[in-house]
Amino acid sequence: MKQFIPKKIFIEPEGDSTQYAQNILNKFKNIEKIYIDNFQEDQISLFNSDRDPITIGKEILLFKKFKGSFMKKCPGTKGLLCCNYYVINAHTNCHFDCTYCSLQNYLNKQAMVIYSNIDQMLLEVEGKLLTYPDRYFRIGTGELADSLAIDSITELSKILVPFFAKQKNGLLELKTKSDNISNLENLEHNGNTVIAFSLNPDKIVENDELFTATVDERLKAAQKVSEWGYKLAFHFDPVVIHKGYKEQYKNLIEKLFKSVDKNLIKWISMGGFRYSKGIKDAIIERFPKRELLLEEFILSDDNKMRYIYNERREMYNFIRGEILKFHPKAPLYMCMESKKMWKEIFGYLPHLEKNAKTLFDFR
Amino acid sequence: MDIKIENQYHIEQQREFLELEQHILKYGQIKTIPIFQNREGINFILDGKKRFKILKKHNIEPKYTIFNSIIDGYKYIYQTEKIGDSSIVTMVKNCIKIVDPFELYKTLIAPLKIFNRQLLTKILTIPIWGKEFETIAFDFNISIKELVQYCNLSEENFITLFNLFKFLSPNGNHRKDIFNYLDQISRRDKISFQNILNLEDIEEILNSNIQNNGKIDKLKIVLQNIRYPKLKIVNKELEKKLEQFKAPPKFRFIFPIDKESETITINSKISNLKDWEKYLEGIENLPKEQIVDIIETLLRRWQ
Repeated sequence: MKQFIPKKIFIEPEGDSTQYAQNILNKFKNIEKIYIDNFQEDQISLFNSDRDPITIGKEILLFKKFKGSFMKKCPGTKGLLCCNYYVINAHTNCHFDCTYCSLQNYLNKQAMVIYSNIDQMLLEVEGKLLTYPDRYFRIGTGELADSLAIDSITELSKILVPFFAKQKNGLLELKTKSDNISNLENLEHNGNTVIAFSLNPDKIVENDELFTATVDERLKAAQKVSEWGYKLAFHFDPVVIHKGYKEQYKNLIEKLFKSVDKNLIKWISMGGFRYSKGIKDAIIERFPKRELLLEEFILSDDNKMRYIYNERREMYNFIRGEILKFHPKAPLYMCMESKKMWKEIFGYLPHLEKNAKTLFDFR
Repeated sequence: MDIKIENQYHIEQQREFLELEQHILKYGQIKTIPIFQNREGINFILDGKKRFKILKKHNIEPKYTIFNSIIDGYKYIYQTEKIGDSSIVTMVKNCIKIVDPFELYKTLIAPLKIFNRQLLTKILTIPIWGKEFETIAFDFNISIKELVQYCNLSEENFITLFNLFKFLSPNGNHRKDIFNYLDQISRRDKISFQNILNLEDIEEILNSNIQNNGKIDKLKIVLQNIRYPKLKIVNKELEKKLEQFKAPPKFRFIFPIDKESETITINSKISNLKDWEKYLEGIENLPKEQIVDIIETLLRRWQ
């Protein structure tokens, strides 16, 4: 796995005003810090080179104060089943380079951003949880970034995990493709943090999840955090249909259940590869040799291209079947799928309660 | 009083020429002059016109490297000489004067595999000789993105593609579709463009007597079906339902067999009042269940 070392550091006003930011900056004493008013306006010329702007962005670290609301509802899609998930973004962008990554679409010409005012973020989260004591919030940090990819630098987990340990109605999910787990040891988590790993067959990891930890490394990390008392989650998302994919996912699932205790798994998700036009353009330009787009896709209501219905159904049925072989009561769900697909795959529509402690009423 | 104003550029050129002449006379010709020899046996100097002039002036027979492919010629120049971006642009400019548009594509595209994006932009915005207000990109109606895509082709596929384009003269949209289908099928099935075009159905279309537009439409349908075999099956189901649908006069559903759209259009070509009356009457009596069934079948492709 590649560790993140920035080539340039920029600081916007108040970007270094907190102890949190100072602690991170102290780790890069040898890298020049450039103070600027507005990165997007002042430094746009950085991206005017013959190099790919997304790659350039991954080498730059920007400290800034986040203005706005940290905690947001996960943007579900109209017509598709939504699981009432919340997201907080303490940092955005990712130094890993997944060919299918949706961040390529809207974090173009942007740096790796660390928001300095996370104390404000914690206040906001706490306020929300206290305002709705009867509701149970599942909150993740992995929407616009990998939750743990740069945790050795930010040490954010050391702040978030103990914070959630004290909450009565909040659960934190740290979702990653890394094996950066060392900070999680000895933290007081009170069972309120779930460590989630994205999984894909070795071939996909090697070709499409560049610079991430290998499957073995991720599973080893999962094993380790489970020894530290954390619950686990696994995301088969995106599932990439390609020649021989069934055999590869079958082997992966077998490997998963040989590596971890199934009883410690809080949930497992499945989601087929889907993409918007912007991502398609990025894949064609940045990874012209990749074969991700060579399957058959069809435009869905949310303007995303998805595998055609029958293909997705076959894929979900297959993966579910393989998982159930090892874990007949696996807490399995699908991400961004229609009610019709839910009924076909699971035989029921999940009942979504806002105070549900789990994502769905797994049956 | 006559005042002669020296052209600074001209002076620089003369100075360079004289320096080169002295160098050649002292050390001889160091690098060969790359020549492109076309099918008719006509030779074009790809680089080193000054050297050629100097050697001829002094009755010295120049040493050449002859290329039958202009692409190889440019690759040779690019790889053997440390030339700057401006020289490359000049090379392309010179090339514009000696090659036809088809060759120009090849001339432009081939080196682009090595060239960077900024240079590509520069080349595309070269004003065309004699048409000062038009650029290459404009004249050939190709975008940088399209060119970058072509740059990833093998030389064999590249030549097949442009022979096909030269033969069919498709417009920009058709060109894009045909390229995408060929490229995706070729990469998925690990076969060359030529192998695809050699398929019986396609050969039949290309060799038929129908006009180019008709050929293009048919070719696209065949390519689409090869590219999307599973989608073809669900589309067939939909087509069947539409065939069974008894529509009022002048009324028909149009659904996109193309994968990138989910819109179903009700098409009506009505030009007189009488037709309107029939049409409205027809709409009132539309078999709703059948329409729902059709739309459900359409949506079943993804939902």
